[in-house]
Formats: sequence, structure tokens, C-alpha cells
Amino acid sequence: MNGRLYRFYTDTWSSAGGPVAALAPVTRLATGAAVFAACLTSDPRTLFGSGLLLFTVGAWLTLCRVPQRVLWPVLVFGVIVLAPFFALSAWIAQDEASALSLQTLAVPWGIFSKGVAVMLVTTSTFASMSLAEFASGLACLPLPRFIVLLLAQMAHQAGMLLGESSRIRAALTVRGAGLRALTSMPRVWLVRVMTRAERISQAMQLRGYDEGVTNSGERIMRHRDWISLATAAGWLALVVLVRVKVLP
Amino acid sequence: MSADVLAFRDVSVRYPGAERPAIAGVSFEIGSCERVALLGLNGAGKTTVFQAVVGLIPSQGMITVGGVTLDRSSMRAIRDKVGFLFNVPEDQLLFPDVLEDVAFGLTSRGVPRPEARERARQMLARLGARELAGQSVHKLSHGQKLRVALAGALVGDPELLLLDEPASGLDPPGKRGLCKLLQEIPAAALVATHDLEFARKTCGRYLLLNEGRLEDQGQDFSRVEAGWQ
Repeated sequence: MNGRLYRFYTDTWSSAGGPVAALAPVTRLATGAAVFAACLTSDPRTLFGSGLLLFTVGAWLTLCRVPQRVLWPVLVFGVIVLAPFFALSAWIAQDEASALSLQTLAVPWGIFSKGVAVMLVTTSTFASMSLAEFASGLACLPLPRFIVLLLAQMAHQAGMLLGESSRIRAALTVRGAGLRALTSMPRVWLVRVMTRAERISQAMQLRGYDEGVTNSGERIMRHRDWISLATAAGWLALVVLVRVKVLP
Repeated sequence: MSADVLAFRDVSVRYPGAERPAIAGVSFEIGSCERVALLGLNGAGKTTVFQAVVGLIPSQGMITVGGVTLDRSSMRAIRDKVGFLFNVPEDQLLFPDVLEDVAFGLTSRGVPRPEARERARQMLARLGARELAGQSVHKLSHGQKLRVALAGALVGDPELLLLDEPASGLDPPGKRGLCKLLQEIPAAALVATHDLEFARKTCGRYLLLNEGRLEDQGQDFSRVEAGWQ
């Protein structure tokens, strides 16, 4: 499982081949964030709201052109994690007869559809850039320096940790731990992560990786970047307007 | 004023809660452009010596690097003089992009980014890793990560190189290339290794640690070999 997770992690970055990938990294992040916000703002409890959400996600996936080998696992994961929310309808219902009515199912459907949508949008955005572009795009955003460094390291070290986890699991399996591998994993993993974190901290101190790190983001904006940003911002504004003025 | 690049004077390190010191009363010097092997069995204190040099762990005694005595105020200056290769090279790769990581040693010291990237590219080429320049560190093998980490340590033209098991995980051509490179680099080097053959080829003399104490030093590596058999 962990080996697959690691392969998924390394396969996802830069896997998308759509027009979004041709934009500047900072534009990709900013437009992705706008689409993410549009998904969260939309109200899928009505047919019109669901249609708007579906169109937003569909358009972004089409523009990113993410390969199916990346999209499917995210979709399946989203369904597994969020489908149990439909069980809430039994508590929401006034009586037994209305438990499966559209009105009662609207609440879990809202959570489910928005959750799956933001998972797909986030994955597609990351799939449209390399890890280095992610860091350089972050550096161009008006964020506090330590937040930028923290997010960049989190993304980078997540990959390193997944690699380490897959090696631990392989070692436990080869040594015949079998099912016990599952129970031993957290203990072994935690110790490794702690010692590794200490070594990385030492490397950071030694190499001078702190808030004084110079900004490595290159903000070269072309016409298409400005057009994309304007379109994404306009779409977000429209979704907000629809949410506030049109939908009940 | 000493001409030694690195001097240890009666240096001891004790980890909190440990029964015995990790290193005790260690004294030695390394001259300019001298290559010295730091030998010892597992747990002898080799990595502790390295960490003490750059102030990663508190130590007693006196440590001098390039004529500067190690203390809290001189730590940054000393670290800038040293190229450090960690035992697990993956730990010191702080950027996802190979070129960015190697160039970081220069950009962090104010070298303009285009110049830093060019020098990083040249260093990778010198290590026979030119093709790695555009790659993600996540897709590299152990040997490739080691080369990238080494390039990052060398790119700032350090006065002193601290290499912790640099040959582990390298294939024979990689080891030969590293030997050649270490002979060419105009810097002093302290090389921690178990590989006596590699030590003999790269270093003019050795320091032998045993349970945290400097047990022996000299140029006749066969004495160590005999002791280990």
C-alpha cells in the first residue's frame, strides 16, 4: 500500500498535460485556489447548484488534462471517505418515511459532492506542476516567508516519508512480520520519523535553511496568465453571486 | 595562528543520560589540503566528531576551523567554511529540484541565482552527474542522491570537507570517481569510513577511534586492518 502511495505521489506531480501546465507556476496555484474556493462556495443542494459545481470541476479537469491513473484513485478515495456521510440522513430525517427523501439527502450530498470536488481540483492543480514549480509558485504569492518554507518542505518531505514508509513496510514483510507488519508499522514508523526529523533539522541548520532563504520564485507573467487569473476570479465572483442572490 | 584547517584540543561530548561520553579527550589536527580517514567500528564516535566540528552538538574542549575557534558567535562563519556530507544523503536534500538544491549553498550566501545555478551545473558535471540537473530528487537512486548531496557540499568551495561514509552505496566506478575527485579538490577532508581500501586510496593518514577515544593514528593502514581481523 505504502509503495503504491509513494508511486502515486511521484507519478502525480507534473502528470497533467493540459493548457494549465503552460501557465506560470504562481498562476496555476492562484487559479487552482480560485477554482477550489468556487467549489466550496457553490451550493449543490439544488439541481442548479449541483450543475454549477459539476461544470466547475469538469472544466478544471479538462483544462488540466490529468491522466486517469491519477484521477481514479482520488475519486475512489473520496467516495470511500465521504460516502458514509449519507448515513447521517437517518438522523436528519424527521420520520422514517422521509429518511430517503431528496430534502434529507441534500445535506450529505452537499458534503459529499463538495468534498470529492475539492479533492479532484487539488490533485489536478498539483498534477499540473512539478514539486519545484510548486515551491517557486508559492514563493511568488504574498504569503509570510515561514509559511512558504513550511509548505514547500511539507510537500517535499511528504514524498521522502512515503519512500521511507514503503521501505519500512518492505523490510517488515521480508522479515516475515506478515499481518504483524500492520501493527508494528506505526511504532517503527514513529521512531524513524522522529530520528529523521532530527537529522533534517540538523541539515537545515547546517545549510542555512531558515527565513533568510532568498526568494526563488520567478514571476514571469504573460498575457495568458493574466487572462487565466481574470477568468478564474470572474468565475469565483459569479459562483458567489449565484450563491448569495439566486439560490435560496 | 595555526596553519591547520581543523584542530581538536581535548574535545569531549556526552549525550544527556548516556553512561559514557560519545567522545572523550580527542585531540588531532588536519593541515591544509590534507585528506584524513576517520576510522572506527560502529558507535566509535565518528559521526559525533563531525557534528561537534560544526556545532550541531555541544562539546567541551576547543575546536578550531580555519583559524576560527568554535563558539556560538562563530558558528555560522565556521559552517560556511565546511562542506558536510551526511551519512544518509537524502536527509540533506532540502529542495525537490536537483539543481536548486545544489545551488542553494551559493544562493544562501548571496551569489546571484543564475551564477549559482551555472556553478551548480558545473559541479554536477564534475561529479559525472550532469544528466541529473533537471531531475526531481524523489526519482533518484541512493547513489545519485549521494552525488547530488556531495555536489551541494562541494559547490561552495569549502576549506574543509566532512564526509560521513561517502563510499557507501556507490558502485565501483562511482567509488573510483569519488577517489579521483577527492584527490583533485583543493580542500582538506576528514572522511569517516569503514572501507579501508577506499580510505587507503583517498587519504594520506588515518585517525582510529575506539569507544570515543582516539586509539591510534598514522599512515600505515595495515595496522588497522590487522586489528580489525
